Amino acid sequence: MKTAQHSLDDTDRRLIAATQEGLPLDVDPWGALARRLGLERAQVLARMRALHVSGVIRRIAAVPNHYRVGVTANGMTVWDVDDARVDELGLAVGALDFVSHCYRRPRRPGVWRYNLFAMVHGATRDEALEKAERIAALLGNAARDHQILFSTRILKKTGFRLAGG
Amino acid sequence: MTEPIATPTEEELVVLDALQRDLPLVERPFAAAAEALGTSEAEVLAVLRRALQAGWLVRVGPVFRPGRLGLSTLAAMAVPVPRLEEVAALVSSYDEVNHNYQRAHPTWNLWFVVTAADEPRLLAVLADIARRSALEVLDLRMVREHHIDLAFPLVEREPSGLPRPRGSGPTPSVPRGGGVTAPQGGSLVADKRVVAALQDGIPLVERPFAELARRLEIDEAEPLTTTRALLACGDVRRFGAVLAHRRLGFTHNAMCVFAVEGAAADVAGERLAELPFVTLCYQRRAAPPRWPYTLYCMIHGRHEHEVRAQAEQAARVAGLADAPREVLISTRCFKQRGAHYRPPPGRAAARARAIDGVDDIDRRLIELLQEGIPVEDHPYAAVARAVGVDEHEVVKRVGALLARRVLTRFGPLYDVERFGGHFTLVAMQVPPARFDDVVALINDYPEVAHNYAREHAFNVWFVLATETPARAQQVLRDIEAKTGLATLDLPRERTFHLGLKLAM
Repeated sequence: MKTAQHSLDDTDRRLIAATQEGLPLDVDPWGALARRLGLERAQVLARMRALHVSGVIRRIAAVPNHYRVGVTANGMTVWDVDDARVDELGLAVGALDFVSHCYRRPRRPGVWRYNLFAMVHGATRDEALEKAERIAALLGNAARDHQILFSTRILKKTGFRLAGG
Repeated sequence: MTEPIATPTEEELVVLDALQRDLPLVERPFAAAAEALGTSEAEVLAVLRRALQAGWLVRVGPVFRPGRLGLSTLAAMAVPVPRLEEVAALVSSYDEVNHNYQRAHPTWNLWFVVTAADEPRLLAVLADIARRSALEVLDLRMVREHHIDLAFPLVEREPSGLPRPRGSGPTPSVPRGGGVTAPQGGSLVADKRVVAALQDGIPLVERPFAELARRLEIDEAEPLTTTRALLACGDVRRFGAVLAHRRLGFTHNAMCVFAVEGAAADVAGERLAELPFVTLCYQRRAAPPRWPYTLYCMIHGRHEHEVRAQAEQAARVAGLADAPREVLISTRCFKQRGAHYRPPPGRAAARARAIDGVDDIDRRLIELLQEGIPVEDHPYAAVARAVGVDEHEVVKRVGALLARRVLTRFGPLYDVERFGGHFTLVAMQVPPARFDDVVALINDYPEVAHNYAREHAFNVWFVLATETPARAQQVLRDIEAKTGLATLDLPRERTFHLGLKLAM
């Protein structure tokens, strides 16, 4: 999906570089960033606001460690769905309250046949499998095949980095 | 169409109008509102009770954003006229049906909204209605929201229609806090009993939140804290008086529908949302060939000729004068109440597991912080209020949660596609003997944002976020050259949902 693009200047890039590890842990994060980067606090706040409004910053939020909060079964369900119906059904799957992410991705003939991806989570594998069953029921015979790929280990989780940043 | 029997006085209208929005969320909200209006708490409560009795007021409570209360859809049926009463009664009998209108249309004459806790239940209700009536039910799901307001200005009304209340612009069509991928189903995980109780409206007493707490046998502060948090995170659009517009003389509403696709629908929707007399505007799924329309807007007014004229104006302004369209005037209201959602039993306990050193405040904090903090002067103020600690304590707790790795990260989540960047999911089949070496090589690239081991022939799955698509290709060629292994590049083609939230 193409989105409107926002061009970044040097100050934006410095702000991104300074926050990609996370926001400074300070009641006044804008002031802390201003001091660190030699900018005015008002300027930092205005820039961050502009980045947020334009969608460059999706949100300023916490990312929990699924495993540490007891959600140990994280399954990527992948579905081979009729191309004519994948968009309509993708919206319905994405609307299920237990699906955290849902995307359409390309097939790779001979290598990868699944075009719909939906993430499900649970405290146990059975819980995640039960959710996959509910997706299967929703998709009905529009899905020819599916698999669930459980993650066994986080190998890296850092979020986006500017190269060299 | 009967004219309202009793009409409110000008003073009553002023109170009702003011209380539609911005009811102060404090222990004694009616006292605070009275102060702003220059009257007394007793008088405000008296007006509200009279209005409730007269049927002008539906409730004082939250208006939830669509999707917050579970799934909803607009449904249409083509009912043979002799069966209309019978089928309308059948439809209205479902607890999940919150609005049910007869509309003037040669075929599709019964229109209703169904809200259910989840997809299976929603589909079950639709299927049940179809089976019991032996009639087809069109399921017209919302695809995109352009504008939702529903507060009716009662005073300072212009003859031409419904001006927006002072100081309120059109709702931005992109949900708050995000770009095109902003969460649709994401919402604050509040106590479901409190949410369910709020839907019926707060009691019309001096301390309504404390009264709710007493009825639910929970902590006295809980309903107020929850309400504030729901409003702060956008799950609740507004909190205040919900008026019965028909009883107040706004007896006519027109649903204008247009057949327009893709980007043209987006542009037209934005324009419609700007019009002062448009109260709702959204795109819905079509049901071709019987129902080709995709873009909807609602217009409310006192007379049929007024809403028809406004519908024509809307078509012109939106550049849709030539698009296929219809105007469906409502002719009878069979049912109208706030969307209801009853908590499904037995689900709440599932999340109540203990995590070492994470207390209830931490849990609430993680829930709220997943929604994000505002980019404001005091970004932690609202969260601090919602969990009942001060801002310093919030920051201290976030630091501790990061240190214990309960949180992996706290900060801005960047959408690289917004600045020309590229996101893709890549899978590889890595021989177990080489697993650690290959993973280390992959993780060395700063552009690799996430990487997971998965149980599958494709056992390594990572997300690549690069500033340009070319750089992504370069990284992949590079990894293939260094490892001698193929990469499976699966860029997302469409986002159906991006939630990223975990119920705590």
